[in-house]
Amino acid sequence: MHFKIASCLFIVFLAIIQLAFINGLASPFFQPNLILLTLVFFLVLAGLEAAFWPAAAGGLFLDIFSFSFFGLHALSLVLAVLFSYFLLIKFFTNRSLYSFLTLIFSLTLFYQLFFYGLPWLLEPFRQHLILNGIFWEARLLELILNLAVTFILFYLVNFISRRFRPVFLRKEKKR
Amino acid sequence: MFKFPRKKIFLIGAGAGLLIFLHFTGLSRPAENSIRSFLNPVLSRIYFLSSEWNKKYREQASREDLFNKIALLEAQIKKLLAENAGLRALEEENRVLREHLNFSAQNKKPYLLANIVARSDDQSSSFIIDKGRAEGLIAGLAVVDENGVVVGKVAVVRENDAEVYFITNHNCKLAASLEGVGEIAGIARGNLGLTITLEFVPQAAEIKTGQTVITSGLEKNIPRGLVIGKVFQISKENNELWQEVSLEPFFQPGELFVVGIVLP
Repeated sequence: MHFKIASCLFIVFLAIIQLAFINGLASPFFQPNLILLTLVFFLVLAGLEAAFWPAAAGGLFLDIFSFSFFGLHALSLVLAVLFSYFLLIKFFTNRSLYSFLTLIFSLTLFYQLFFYGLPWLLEPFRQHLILNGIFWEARLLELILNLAVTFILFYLVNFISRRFRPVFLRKEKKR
Repeated sequence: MFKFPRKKIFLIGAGAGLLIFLHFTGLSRPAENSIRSFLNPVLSRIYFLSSEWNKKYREQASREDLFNKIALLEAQIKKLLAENAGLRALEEENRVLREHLNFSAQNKKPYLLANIVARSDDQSSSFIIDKGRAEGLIAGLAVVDENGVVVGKVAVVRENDAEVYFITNHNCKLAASLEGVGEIAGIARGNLGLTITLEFVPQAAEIKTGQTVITSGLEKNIPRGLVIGKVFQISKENNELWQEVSLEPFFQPGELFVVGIVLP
């Protein structure tokens, strides 16, 4: 219970930093998404519930400050976490670097898909944004930077904790 | 295989539905407004740090002395252009009114200052300010920087804050005209988040690069004479009805942290 509350508060704090500090920086420093980066670690280290509630809390906080459809941030984050968790339990059951990288890739991709796709679904005849080269370039840059930051964070956390596996899997004897 | 108990799924869904219902019926508005009012000073302070960081980053990226000199000169030019455009428009209006009605010169335009508290994810689209309906804001007002140059237009207004579209946003449109040439008018519209396009300019209109484009005053609540940008490219095709005029804005989005809203 304490962990849930603390993790929700932490994600809200990250949302404040993302909204007011990161988004205001010059390119490419505004691209990494702190919330997604944190959620992938919660998801892998502590499971679905540990990522679900912070995703909902962080999304709700962003919705209060957003001028988009209310619930869009929360829904996008929660759905992205659920889809990524499905991938985690089906394909990436270990805690190796490539699992993390693939999960952050899928989390970012799903989040972008829902965040930019849901408004089209809800209001199909209204022009929501222009899908030009600059838009796609920004999405690609966000993916790449999220991957790069995850790579760095993985080794940082690995240095502190032994809960991760190395890049190359070692064979373990079956019990 | 992951499983969420059905009861839990139902409760979560009901909770989410309740929150959305409370938002759209306005019942949660006091709570939302309180959260925003409480956090806006924090957000604006953090945003100020972000813009300071941007400034430092920009300074380091080029030769320091040359950048400082250029920045100083650019600031002076912007200030003078804005002053000049305002005075010329005022002079022209003054002359016409004096000839017909014997009116005196208008007072200085009423103004409201606001802090920027957040930017949109894609940088060039919009930003949020900490003033709203409570301070008398309405949608459609012009937003300017410290030199009186138009940076955007108020799009959506809430009780304590508002969303402003940057002038380079595709959804931001302003009635514009060329400075000193009042009969050449068009619509200045954001293009790709980087530049501004002046639309509906007739083929016969004589336009030169470097000319300044200002607000024409034909739009409700936006006075005449506010500087929008400078012409940097003109495209004339014989088989087209209109010329395509590209404008360069006079401001750096990353360095804005306080803006002024020109009140009607």
